[in-house]
Amino acid sequence: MSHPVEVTPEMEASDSGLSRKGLSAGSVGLLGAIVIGISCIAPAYALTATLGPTVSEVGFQVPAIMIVGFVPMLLVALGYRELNRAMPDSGTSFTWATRAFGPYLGWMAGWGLVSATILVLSNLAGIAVEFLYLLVAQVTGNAGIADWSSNVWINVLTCLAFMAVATAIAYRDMQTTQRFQYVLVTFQVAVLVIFAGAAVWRIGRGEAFDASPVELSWFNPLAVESFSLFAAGVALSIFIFWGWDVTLTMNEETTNPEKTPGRAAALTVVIIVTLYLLMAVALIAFAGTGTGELGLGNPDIQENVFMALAEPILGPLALLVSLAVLSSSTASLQSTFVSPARTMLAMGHYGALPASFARIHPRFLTPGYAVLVSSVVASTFYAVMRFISENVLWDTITALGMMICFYYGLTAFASVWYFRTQFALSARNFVFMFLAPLIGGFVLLVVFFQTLFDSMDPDYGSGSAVGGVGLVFLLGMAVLLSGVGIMLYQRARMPGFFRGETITQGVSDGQEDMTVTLPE
Amino acid sequence: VSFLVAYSDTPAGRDALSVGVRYADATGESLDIVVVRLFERSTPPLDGYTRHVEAVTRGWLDKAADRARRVLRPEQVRIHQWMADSVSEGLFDAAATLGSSLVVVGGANDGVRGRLAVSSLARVMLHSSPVPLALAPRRIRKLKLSGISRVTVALGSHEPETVVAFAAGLAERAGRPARAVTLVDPGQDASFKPAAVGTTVAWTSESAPGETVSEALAQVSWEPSEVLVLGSSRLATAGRIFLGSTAGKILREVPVPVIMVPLRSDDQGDDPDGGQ
Repeated sequence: MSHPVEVTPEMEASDSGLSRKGLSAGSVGLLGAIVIGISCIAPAYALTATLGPTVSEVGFQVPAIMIVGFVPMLLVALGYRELNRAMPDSGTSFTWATRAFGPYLGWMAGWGLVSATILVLSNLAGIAVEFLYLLVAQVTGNAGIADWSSNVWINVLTCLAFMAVATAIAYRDMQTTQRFQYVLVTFQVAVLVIFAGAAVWRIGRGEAFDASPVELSWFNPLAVESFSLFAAGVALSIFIFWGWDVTLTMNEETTNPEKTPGRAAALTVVIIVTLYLLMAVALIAFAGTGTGELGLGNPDIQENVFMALAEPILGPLALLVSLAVLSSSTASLQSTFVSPARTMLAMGHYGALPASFARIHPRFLTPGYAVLVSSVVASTFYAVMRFISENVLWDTITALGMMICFYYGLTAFASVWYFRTQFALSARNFVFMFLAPLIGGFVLLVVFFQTLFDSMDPDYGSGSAVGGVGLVFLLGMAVLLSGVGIMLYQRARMPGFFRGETITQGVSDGQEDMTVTLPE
Repeated sequence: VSFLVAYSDTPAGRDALSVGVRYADATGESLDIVVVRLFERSTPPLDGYTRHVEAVTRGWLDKAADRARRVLRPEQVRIHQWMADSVSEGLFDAAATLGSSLVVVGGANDGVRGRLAVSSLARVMLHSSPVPLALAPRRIRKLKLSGISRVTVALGSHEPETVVAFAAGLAERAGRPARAVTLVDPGQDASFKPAAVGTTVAWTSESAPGETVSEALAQVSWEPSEVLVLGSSRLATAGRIFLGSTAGKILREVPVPVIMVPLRSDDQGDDPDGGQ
C-alpha cells in the first residue's frame, strides 16, 4: 500500500506545504490502532515490572488500585486529546504547556516527558536483559545462565547492546510490518491469558504457593491502609496504562479521524484492564502477598515477578512467558524511543534546546540526533544506576511513576488554562476541556507531591538509600533539578524561546491553533 | 511520460537529481522529484510529528525543484511526497501512477568517486524494478555536465529488442547518436545491424574483445555526458529488472550513468552474459 501526498508548486506559502489529504491508503484502521496501543503499553512488561512493587504498597488491593489508577489517566487523556486537536504538534506536552503557561513551565513539562521516557527506556532494557538470560537458560536447560543477569558487568553490557540495537532501529526507521506487529501483540495477550489460566488451574488442584481466596475487598480501594500507600499505588498503576494515550493522538493517520481514535482507545483500555485484573487476581490468589519464596511481597522477586512465577505455574511452558516479555519489551523499546525524540525535536525546533535536536535525518527521515541523545542518556543512566543500586529496576519504576504524574498533571492543567475561553460554550467542552483534566490533573499532582514527600524515607520503595535519604526521592529530585539547571543554562545560551519569540503564551480561540505550526 | 528522481537531501539524492535534470533537459520530458516517506507501523503515528516531517520534506523538495528549474522550464518540474511501506515500493508505485518511463536513483555513500556504488535501495530496485532504472555515479553532480551526448547500449551475442529500442528511443528524443558496444571473446568481431531498429538515430557499432568484462571494457572510450543502457538478466521475471552478473561487473567499471532496462517476455535475455 502506498499513496501520494500531492504537493504542488501552486500551493500558497501560507499553507506551508502541509497537505493532509491522500493518507487514507496507508492509514491506521481500528484494529491497527488497538494493536499499536497495546504494543506501546506492553502489558506483559508493565505487569512484571510493577506487580511486585504495587503489592508491596497496597497488598491485596492491587486490582482496586489498577482500576482507580486508570481514572486520572483517562481524565487527563481527555484533555490531552483536545489539546492535540487544537495544537497537533510534535512537542505535545511541551508545546501545549508552553502555549498555556509560558516557556518555563512548558520547558519543565517537556523535560518531564523526556526524562520519564528515558527512565522507562532503561527499565525496559533492564527487564529485557533478565528475560533474555532466562530464556537462554530455559532453552538450553542450563539454569545457571539465568543468573548471569545478576552479574553487574554482564548485565550492563547486555543492556547496552540491547539499547544499541534499539537505537539503530529507531534511527534508521526500520518499521516492522503490520502483520508482524499483530503477531507479537496477539502472542503477548495469549500468553498472559494462558499464564493466568494456568495459575487458576494450579489453585484448583491445590498446588498454589500461598492460596489466597479472592475477596471482594481486593476491588475496594478504600481498603488500602493509608493515603501514602494509596498514592504510591496510583503512581505505579498510572505507569501501567502509560502509552495508552497514543491511540488518541493518531487522529489524522486513521481511516476515520472522527471515530477510530476514540473507539480504539476505548477497546484498548477494555482489553488492557481485563488482562491486568485477570493477571493480578490470578497471581495474587496463587502466590499471596507474603514475603515467602514466591510471595509477591518477597523483595527478591518483586522487581520482576514473572521471572520467579512462570516456572512454578507453567512448568516447561514458562518459556512462553519469557518470550512474551522479551518481545513485548523489545517492541516497546522502539516505540518508546520515538517519544522523547519527537519532543526533543520540537524543543530544538522552537529553540528550547540546541538546534541540532531539530534535525531530521535526510535519508531516514527520523529525528536522528534526538534519538542518539536519548539512547546515550538512557544507557548511561542505566549503567550508573545498576552500580549504585541492586534494586535499580524497582527504583526507576517508582521514580518513573512520579515523573509521569508530574508532566501529565502539567498537561492536564494546560488544557484547563488554554481552553479557559472555550469550556463555557458547551457541555461537551466543559467536560473534556475543563472538568475531566482539572480533576485528573489535581489527582496526579497530589499523587506526585505525596510520593515525593514519602520517598524521602530511606525505607521507601526497594529500601535503597543514599546518605539516609530514599533513593527514589533523590532520583526524582535529581531529574527535576537537572531539568531546571539545563533550562537555565539554555536560557543563558539561547534566550529567544524564553522571551516568547518562538511560541507565544496564548489562549484558545476555538479553532486549530496556527501559532505553533511553524513553517520551516 | 516523465522521468522520476528518487530524491533525498543527501549527496546521493543530489547526484540522482543532477542526472534526472540532464535527461529531462536533453529529451524535453517532465521531471517528477519524489521523496518517499514511510507509513508508521510499529511506532505510534502522531499528527504533529507527521506534519513536521512533511514540512521539512517539503522544504527539501522546494530546494530541489529550484535547482532543477535553473535548467528546466518551471512547469517541467513537479515535486511529490509519496507514502509507502518501503522506499522501493513507494518509488514503483509513484512511477506507475505518474507514468514514469525512467527512475533515477543515487549510489551508496561509500563508493569510489565517479563510479557507481550500488546502495541498498538501488540493490533492491535492480532486482525488481518494472521501470527502467538509471543509476547516478557518485559525485556526478560536481562534473557540471549537461544533456546527453550519446547513448550507448552494451550487447552480448543477442540483441534484445527492448534494450535496443529503449536506447534508440532515448537517443532519438535527445537528438543524439547511439552506439552499440558488443562484448565479445578475443579475436571475434560483432556485427550489430542498427537497421533493425527502425529509427532515424545515427548508429555506430564497435566490438569490445576481452577475456574478462574489465578487459573488454578497457577497449571502450566514454564521453563524459554519455549514458550506458544495459538489459536485465534472463533470470528476470518478465517485465522486471534483474541485474545479471555481467551487467553487475559492467556497473562497477564504467564512469557514466547506467540505465537498466527490464525485458519483455519475448526478449531473449541478458545479452552481455550470453556473449561471455
